[in-house]
Amino acid sequence: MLASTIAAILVIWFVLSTLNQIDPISTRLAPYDPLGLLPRWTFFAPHPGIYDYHLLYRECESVATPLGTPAMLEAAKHLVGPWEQLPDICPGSSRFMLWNPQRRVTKTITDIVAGLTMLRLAHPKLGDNVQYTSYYWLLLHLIQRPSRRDGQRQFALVQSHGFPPERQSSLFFISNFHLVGVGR
Amino acid sequence: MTITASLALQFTAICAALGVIMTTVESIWHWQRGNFGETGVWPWYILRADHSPFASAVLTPVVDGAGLLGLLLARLSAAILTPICYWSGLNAGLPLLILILSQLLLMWRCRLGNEGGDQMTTVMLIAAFLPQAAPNQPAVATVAVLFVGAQISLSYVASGGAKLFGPLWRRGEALAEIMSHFQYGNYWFMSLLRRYPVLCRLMCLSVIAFQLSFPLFFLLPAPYAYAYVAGGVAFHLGIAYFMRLYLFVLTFLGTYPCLIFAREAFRNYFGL
Repeated sequence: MLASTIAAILVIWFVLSTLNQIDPISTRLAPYDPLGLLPRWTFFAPHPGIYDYHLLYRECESVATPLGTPAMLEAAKHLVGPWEQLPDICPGSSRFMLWNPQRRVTKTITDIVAGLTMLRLAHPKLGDNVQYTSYYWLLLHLIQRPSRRDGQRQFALVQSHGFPPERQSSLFFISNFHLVGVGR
Repeated sequence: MTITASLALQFTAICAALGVIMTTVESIWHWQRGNFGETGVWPWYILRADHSPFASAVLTPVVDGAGLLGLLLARLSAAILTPICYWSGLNAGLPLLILILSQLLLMWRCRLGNEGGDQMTTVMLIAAFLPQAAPNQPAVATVAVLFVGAQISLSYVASGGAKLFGPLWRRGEALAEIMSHFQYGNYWFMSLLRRYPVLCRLMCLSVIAFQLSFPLFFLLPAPYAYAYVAGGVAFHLGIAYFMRLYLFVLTFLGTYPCLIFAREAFRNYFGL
């Protein structure tokens, strides 16, 4: 009796796992699988990950200067610093086969990019509402970490392909400016 | 070649436990660097927004701060104890249960940054736990082994099928493009594949053919069927070496005894 019950449960699990390989069904099943019991086995397919993603930010020292539109940004560009990359998040090419914990960090950024892409596909008119997603909060949180003074920061996700110096880069996503600093 | 269900699951459980040791040491390293903390990469105060307030409130003590470290240390201890239990003939149910619960908690806490090896670890741990929880019912072990064999077969067929929908894979350019990845790629291999596009095309098509035709492993007689085992070993070792995704070796190859058992059971059932 016990073996039959376990067999029935495992058969159901396997059938759901099989259905989870099909894209529209997988999206529908995801909310019901908070523990990640349904595997997704479509590694590197159909579109293999071929880009590295870099999280960059730049800062405007002034808290009061409005930077909401491209015209405002143009008027205040002398107050805005250069783009910088977060060193502990940038993709690294580890040579170690058995010790590469940093891959979890860079994979997190890749997963955020995948999540943002899915959101954009599902909601083409998402626009600035992307700011209310945990993906966006996480990126904003990451670029706020090194802030020692009050200011406004903007972040960007840049995708690159290939090895330096032939590496090719393009912009994937750019945020609005946000107030950052001690106590924010 | 014959293998028992218990022995196959024992091998699977030990490989899963070794994989857990590797990933948990990595997680403890991240914890020490503050990556799970308020200023880290995976801060609970943001991640909890994706969960129900009640579940977040109840589970916060074990998925944040010192509680998370406690969970990771308990997980590491259970992973070390699992092979010891098997080798000394003790029931490994308790350490496996701890590994399953911690695995589910960590998956629930954050999916970002996980990989396919983590998914297979969940399958392996649950399958290995079942016969330990019902040691007097040998049929449970058989069912659990067949389940693992079915999941690994599904993983290959699904992955091969998905590749058919990818233009880069169909054109035979995917491997060179993947190897161009700075994080996961390999400059030497990329250069080789770019220099010899026919080789690249051949390797892409071989991967698709290997994965899609994997059900033949159950139909072909020995020793021909074991070409799939050899192909799988080479495939996963290649991924570990060139892409530095080492968890795949332990988790996927760790299921192979279950796969071999499942093949024998299948052939016996159908009189092949």
